[in-house]
Amino acid sequence: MADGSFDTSTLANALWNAFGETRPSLVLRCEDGRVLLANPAACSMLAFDATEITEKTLEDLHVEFELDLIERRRDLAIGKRASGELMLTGGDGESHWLHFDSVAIPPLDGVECRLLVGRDCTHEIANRVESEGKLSAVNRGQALAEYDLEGKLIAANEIFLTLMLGSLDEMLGVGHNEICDPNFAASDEYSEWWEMLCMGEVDEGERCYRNREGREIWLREVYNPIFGVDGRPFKILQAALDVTQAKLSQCKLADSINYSSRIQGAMHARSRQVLEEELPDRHCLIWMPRDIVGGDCFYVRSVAGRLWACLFDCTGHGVPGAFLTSIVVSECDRILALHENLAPGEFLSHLHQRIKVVLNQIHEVRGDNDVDDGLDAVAICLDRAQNLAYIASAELPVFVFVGDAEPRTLKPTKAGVGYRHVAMDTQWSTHILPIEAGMRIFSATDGIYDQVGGEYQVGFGVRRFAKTLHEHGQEPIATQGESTMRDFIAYQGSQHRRDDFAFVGLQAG
Amino acid sequence: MSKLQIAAGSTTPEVSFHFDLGVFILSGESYPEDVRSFYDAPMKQFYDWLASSGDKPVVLAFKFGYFNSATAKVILDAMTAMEKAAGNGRMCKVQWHYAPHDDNIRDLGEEFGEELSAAKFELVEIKPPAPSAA
Repeated sequence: MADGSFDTSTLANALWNAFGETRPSLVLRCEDGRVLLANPAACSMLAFDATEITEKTLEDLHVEFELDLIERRRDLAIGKRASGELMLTGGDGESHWLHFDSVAIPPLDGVECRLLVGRDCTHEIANRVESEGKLSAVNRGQALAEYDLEGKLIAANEIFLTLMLGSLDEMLGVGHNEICDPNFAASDEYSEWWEMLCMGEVDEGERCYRNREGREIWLREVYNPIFGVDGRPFKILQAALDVTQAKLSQCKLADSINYSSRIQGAMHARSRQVLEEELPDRHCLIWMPRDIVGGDCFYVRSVAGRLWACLFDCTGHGVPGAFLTSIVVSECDRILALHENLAPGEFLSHLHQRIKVVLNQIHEVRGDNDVDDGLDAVAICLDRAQNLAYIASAELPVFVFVGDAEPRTLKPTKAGVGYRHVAMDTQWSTHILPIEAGMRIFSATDGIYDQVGGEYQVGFGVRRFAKTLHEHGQEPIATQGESTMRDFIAYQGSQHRRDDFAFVGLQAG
Repeated sequence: MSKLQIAAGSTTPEVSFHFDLGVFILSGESYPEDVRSFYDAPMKQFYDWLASSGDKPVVLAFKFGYFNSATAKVILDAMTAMEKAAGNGRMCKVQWHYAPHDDNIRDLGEEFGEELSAAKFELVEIKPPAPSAA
């Protein structure tokens, strides 16, 4: 206006009309909350016509039993509260959420009134209710804690507090580094990790914490940075599941398997020692269980001037396989103590009978719960006084190299040792070879032959093993073994290991 | 039931037993930690069917890329049952499939085949899929 004055009633009309289509607005009598006026937006949103709605009080539209919501309604109507949300029931019977601002207006015809300027917030409320529902579900199922960027705890739910054995008061302000594993907290890795979270990275993992009694708590957890309106993280939310029980039993199991591997190592120690003494620099020995302990094993003894070297592959791998290996080794000692002059074939027959007895596999027909376990075996006996090599094998081929020539493959007897289904009186045949200068004898377990890999993703195979050994035949035998192993590992490539494997090579002459 | 179908797992083969056709197929890799807990139930169905289906011809097909020694025992038992049925005059055929270049699996199949005389044994090289027509 040129003179700086306003025609306020014209302006008020203009505003009322402008709001008419867009902002649901009601004029309420303060005394009883009766609707004196409703604009078209309010009528259309609440599905009333103008005359219907003016007969209602806010109480009619907002049916509520909760005291604080009733108070909120009254406060909006009398102007004690500047804004709030109300759920109103429309003429269509549906619920509509309105966010109201309560605005003072001059009395209308001497009646004290408030103008409620509204906005439909039904969707927001629906989203909020859903989010809250989800959040409380998470809250019920997971330990939650929030930290500021300094790592101080600023919030935690009941589950978290119960795990940590502290009240919220006791835990507030406690540093993340004070509750997580002290070794981790003291590491450079820790400060880098926390910095990464503060930069907005999400991280998940399994970590160890200490509760207020100092006990280990293992959490499988996700750290979520929470972003402020400026787009920067301002706190870190930790959502975690307690996996302490599972973790401790896992550790116990791993400890127990690791300890078993010490026993299996000790069991092998004597064999390694005999091999070093009897054939220094003239042997190779590879033993690689798939899972810490294994069902493959080797056995070397010097008995009555003859050197016995055996390779066994017991059914199964891991712990069950390892059980069998310990039975096998003690049975071998027992057999050689009782019978010094056995041929390897006879030795395998004895071993077969003993395993059948020990595992109660004497009868060939098995009952429902009976086992049928046994082993593949190679038994080599070097009689250097007579210059003869005696070799017997159950299921595993043996390769004999002399000079540059293609290896001779000794065919195994096709019967496993110890199995229930293999008859008690089964015989294994013994090959007798004169020991020639430079003669090398190799054998491997089927973990090598069957390992999938290579260009066609098929097993390494017996022929490829012999060929690989032959290719490295110019090297000293210890190096030949390592080179062959390296080629094998390259062949395996990215394929995972299927089985234990072991191989042994002896330079007899 | 006319068919037993078990999908392959990471260490267990696919089982396709067509009881109505008399066709039984194991394919894939087989090295479960506990071989019996995997094989006992399906193999019992096979043996029960074998015992109760008269003179109906049987085809047992193995299509392995890898199997452990405990699985070898399952294979051997099944072949022994086939051999026995064939000895009684029944038409029994064991097929051993191997991938091209898989000498190891072929050799192992040959060894199994040597155990059979009455039952027919076939070594089958798996043909790579034919290139599609342009």
